[in-house]
Amino acid sequence: MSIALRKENWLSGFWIVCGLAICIASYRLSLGSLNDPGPGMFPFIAGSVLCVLSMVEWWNTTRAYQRAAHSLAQTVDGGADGARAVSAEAVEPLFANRLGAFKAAAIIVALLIYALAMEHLGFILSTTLFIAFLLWLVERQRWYVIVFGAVLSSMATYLVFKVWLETALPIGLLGF
Amino acid sequence: MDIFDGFSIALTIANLGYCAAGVFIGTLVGVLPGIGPVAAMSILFPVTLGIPPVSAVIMLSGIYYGAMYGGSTTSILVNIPGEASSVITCLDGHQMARKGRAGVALGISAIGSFIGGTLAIIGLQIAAPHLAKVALIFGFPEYFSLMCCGLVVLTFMAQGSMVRALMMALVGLFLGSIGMDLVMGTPRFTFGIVEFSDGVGLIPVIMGLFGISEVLLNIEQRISKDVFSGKISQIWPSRKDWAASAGPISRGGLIGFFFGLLPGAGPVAAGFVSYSVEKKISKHPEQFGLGAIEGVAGPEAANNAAIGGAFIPLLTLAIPSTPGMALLLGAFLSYGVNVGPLLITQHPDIFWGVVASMYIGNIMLIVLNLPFVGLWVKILKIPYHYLVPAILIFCVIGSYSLSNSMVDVIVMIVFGFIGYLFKKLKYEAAPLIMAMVLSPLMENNFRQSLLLSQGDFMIFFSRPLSAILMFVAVLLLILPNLSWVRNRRAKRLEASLE
Repeated sequence: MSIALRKENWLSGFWIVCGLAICIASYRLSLGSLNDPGPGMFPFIAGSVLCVLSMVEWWNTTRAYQRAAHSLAQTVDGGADGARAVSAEAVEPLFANRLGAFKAAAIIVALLIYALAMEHLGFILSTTLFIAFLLWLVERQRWYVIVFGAVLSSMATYLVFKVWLETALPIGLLGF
Repeated sequence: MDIFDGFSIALTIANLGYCAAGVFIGTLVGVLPGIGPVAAMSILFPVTLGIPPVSAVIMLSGIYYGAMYGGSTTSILVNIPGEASSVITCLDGHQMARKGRAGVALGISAIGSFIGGTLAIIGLQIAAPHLAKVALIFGFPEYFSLMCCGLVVLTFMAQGSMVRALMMALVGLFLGSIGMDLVMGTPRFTFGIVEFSDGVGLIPVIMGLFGISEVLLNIEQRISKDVFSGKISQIWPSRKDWAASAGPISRGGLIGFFFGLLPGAGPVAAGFVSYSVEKKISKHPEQFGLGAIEGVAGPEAANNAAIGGAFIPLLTLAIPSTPGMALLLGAFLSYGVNVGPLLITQHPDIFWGVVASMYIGNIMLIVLNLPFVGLWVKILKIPYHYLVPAILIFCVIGSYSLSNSMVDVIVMIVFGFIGYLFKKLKYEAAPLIMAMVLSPLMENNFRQSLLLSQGDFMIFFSRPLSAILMFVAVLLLILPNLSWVRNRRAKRLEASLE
């Protein structure tokens, strides 16, 4: 089985599990009857159709990969093994640029920490630290660009949103 | 009330200001690759909560159609689409720039956008009141069938697999059902989180799927910009350019308007269709891709006209045909305004005010995009890594200020990550958003229909209008599985790739 097909099968499996989970949770809410539908009926239908479509997707992708492997086997020397090797090689990895993917993951983690820290550290301090981290991570800047950039932009954002637009922002333990 | 009353609303100082702010921000996000109009609208949505609904919608729509203008500037000068609907403009627009005709390309794209946009507003102004009258005969089953049909059309028009698009729509229906049950008041799938009893916020989900995920993808793939460095001169097209562009602009306007009406088609498909039509009927198709002015004029008129067209199903039937329209529908509901057939009679100020503001916005945009093109070129040169902190922080502030709760921020971050994975795995987010916003309406109409028919599902097939809509939906579900349709689609795809 090629790497790509395995990935697709895992995905279809994931959606089948999601669909089943929705069905079970909806059933527990009470489906009601056809002439008096309960709160679970509509999501139950959505979950069931999701399950069916995930199976269709699994079937479609398996057939498509089998067809591709078959046609490769006819054109590539080495028969089915060669075709399998070629199709596995031809698959572009999900995260081709490892460093880029690492940066994307780091940003998600940093965003979560930023969101959780904001209510304790307050908007200005947490935003300064977050911007400094981004300036360091995305395209490494000189230290003074990081420090001044982070401090000035977080202050400017605070002034625009909190003072001018009167948007509610977390205050934090330090009072700002 | 009519369009003249609309102008009296749109021409007040405050509304002119909101319109100007909307089209300026729209052009800005259109010019900047890495942030699209839907993300910008969702970031600015909390700011609109404190202003009258008509002003809020004027500003949010200004962002949406303004981005169509701005996107072409980036396509022409950098060969990167500023936003999705300008992809096709890269082909000939950038070639024109490389041949020293950047000014004319920018000029004809702004003029084409203006004419296409204005034609669509005229269409909206004429068609919407009539369609609203027709929509008044819709009952619960007709509405449910219409929404089913809309979602199926949307998935049919999806760029990738239709099955995957349908799966996304179903996930959206589930997400939309989270929160208090409308009939019995039972909390559903809230996992004990109090904030979820009103449902998962649409805006944080949109910010995540369209804003955060785009940033993550751009960081992973590193946007490299090679901004056009030549001098931009002679923006006004010559007589020859006018002669070549008049037909494509008018055809593009019509194509865009009709594509705007279809759920899922929107400005992107309109631009592509206009381009292929122009190439097909051109006397010199070999020039397309090498800097043909028709390849810029037609698609630009079409993508702007599609926005005007997309307002019709939204304002008369409450059916959003693009993610931006889904956001507007969510915004209307937040302002306590029920969109649908009764909007024009119950809130004529909003309908006519917004329509009139679109005429004004289009004039503002042509002024912003022609004489001030140099400003946008300077903005284009801002490195992307300086924009990343700004986009992320605006998203965090925007989602927090919706209900002063970190839950919305966490939802946005989680959906940002999910959206990033969706993009990598070729799942489209648009059907999810549209199904999510339609879910409560769909469920309500579904349950009311079953109550009405005492549990008989045939109610959706026995009433003529509902039956026609269901028939269309079933037909569209079957069509892609017929082998001759599949073969024709594959051939067409191959031809377009060549």
